[in-house]
Amino acid sequence: MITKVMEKKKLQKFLSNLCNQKLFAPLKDEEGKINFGLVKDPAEVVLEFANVLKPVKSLLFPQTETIFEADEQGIHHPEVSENGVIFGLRPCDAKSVRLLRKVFEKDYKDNYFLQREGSYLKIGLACTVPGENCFCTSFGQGPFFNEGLDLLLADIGEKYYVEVLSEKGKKLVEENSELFLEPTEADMELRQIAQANAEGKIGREVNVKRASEKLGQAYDNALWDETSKICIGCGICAYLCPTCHCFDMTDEKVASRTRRIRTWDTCMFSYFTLQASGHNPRPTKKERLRNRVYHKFKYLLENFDEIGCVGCGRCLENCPSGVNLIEILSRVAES
Amino acid sequence: MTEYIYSPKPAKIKKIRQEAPDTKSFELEFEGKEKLTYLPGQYLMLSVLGEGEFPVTFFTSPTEDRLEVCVKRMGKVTTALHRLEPGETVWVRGPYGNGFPVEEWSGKRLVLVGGGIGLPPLRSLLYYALDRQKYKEISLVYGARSIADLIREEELVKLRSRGVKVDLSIDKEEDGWNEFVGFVPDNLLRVSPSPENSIAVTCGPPIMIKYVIQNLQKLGFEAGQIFMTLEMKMKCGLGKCGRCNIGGIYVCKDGPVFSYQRLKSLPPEF
Repeated sequence: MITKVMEKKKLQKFLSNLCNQKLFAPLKDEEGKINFGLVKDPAEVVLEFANVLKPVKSLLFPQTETIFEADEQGIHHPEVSENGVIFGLRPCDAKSVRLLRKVFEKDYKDNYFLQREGSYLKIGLACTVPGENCFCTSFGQGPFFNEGLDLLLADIGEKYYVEVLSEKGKKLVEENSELFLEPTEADMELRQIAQANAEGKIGREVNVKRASEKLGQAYDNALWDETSKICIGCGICAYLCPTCHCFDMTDEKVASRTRRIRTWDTCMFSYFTLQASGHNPRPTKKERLRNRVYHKFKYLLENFDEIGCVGCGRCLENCPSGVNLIEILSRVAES
Repeated sequence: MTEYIYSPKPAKIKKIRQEAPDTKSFELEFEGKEKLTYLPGQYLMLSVLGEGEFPVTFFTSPTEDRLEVCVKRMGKVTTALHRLEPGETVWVRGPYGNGFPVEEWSGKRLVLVGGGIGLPPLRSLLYYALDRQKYKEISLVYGARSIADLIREEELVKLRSRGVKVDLSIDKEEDGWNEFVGFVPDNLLRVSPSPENSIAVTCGPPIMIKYVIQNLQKLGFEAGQIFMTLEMKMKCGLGKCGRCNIGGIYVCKDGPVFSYQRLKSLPPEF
């Protein structure tokens, strides 16, 4: 692996070079939330944050997108390729893309996602200060995990330590060669210390492998009824989950045109499985919460050899009623 | 060229038939009279543009020279479809799903058990079996709430002359009805088909399916001899949108046809 360092004062220049194409990076929105946004001024890019609120899927698989438009002439497809750069992905979000890609690629290629995903260059930012609900280390990855990225930058004090992880990343470094230096032994040491520090700050842990295995016998466990009682079915856990990929497709009529749109959807909503006859195979919150956990920790594992969770902690952080995935998984693991 | 997996192609409605008070069949024709290759038990995603899309199984057999679907008016899109006239265009994609394992069943007796709007996939299979002549005996046990609700009664009765054993029923006594009165599972017990070298296929409302399975087992059918086609809310038809899962399988692409043996190993979420 090629490694470099970049002095921190050079970052603004790097970001402004990246602005030659579409650059998405963490920005503070009007509500004060940190989310990926289109960068107009590199000085606005937020560098001190635990994680963006909406995961990177919001750029690759937008909350709402047009599947096609139709008029008398027939069906018209939108252009989906973006050819841009995403800066500031956390390692957990970068990892989530691998699962999403598997889902959208298997058997039938969903080119809306695949083209968009393939067109972005992804620059990660290692977590030197993880959030209090992070538990990525439970998945054998961690705050410095570099998979799914073209470059990974890690804050080592005066500099960023840079891992060059793909051909695309290498090309970008070459194009901006004046901004990068060769790392010294001291830099490498600082990087190791930063990683150990960050991993040490992850305060939550769950035995994911054991929980996954135990799900086979936990279907009728009372815990589903107990833990789903406080759920209000708002679906925020799924909307903010970097790996939740379920969607709805609906039609809109706009004057003489029809538009078929795709929107995020979730198995936490009763309408998700409600049939026109009134029959609902998952009629209560108990079945719905259980399905979500099983989907992530059993069904995806069976079908894609991949767990549908990266330990980002967004569902813990943002659930308005305190449904706690770690607690649920721990109960499963101990069952 | 980029492939767009959710994009349908146009089909003209050639003919519409009222099949029951709330049920119509639609004969569809593609541009250039293109013929669709499909198996009984597979389905199409059918769009009324501007209203939405829904899954619908084939009413006809691929051995017939026309393509029909039969739709009960249930929700938004099926209501919109019922308002269309011959000559208007619908949009379809597919065929999707596994269909019936017709090759595996060659040489066997087929016992088809249906209720109400459960007839279409069974009719498709029945004509396929008749035309392919690879099956031993075909028997159909079919019923509906009333005479008016029976789909294609006249056509089904005529199948007797082609060697099909047809047993019809309605739930309650009506004038002019000379066949069985009662529920489909009861008629099945009365008809009492032999499980020997047989495959039973059932489609209908969930409650009917439940008792049909019980009664088939009473008659000696094993779980591996009983097949059904399931209904689920579907959007993509391709195993991506996530809503039709039963455990780790998707009804849209791993089904909609399942043996009872396979279903028993899945969570009871259907």
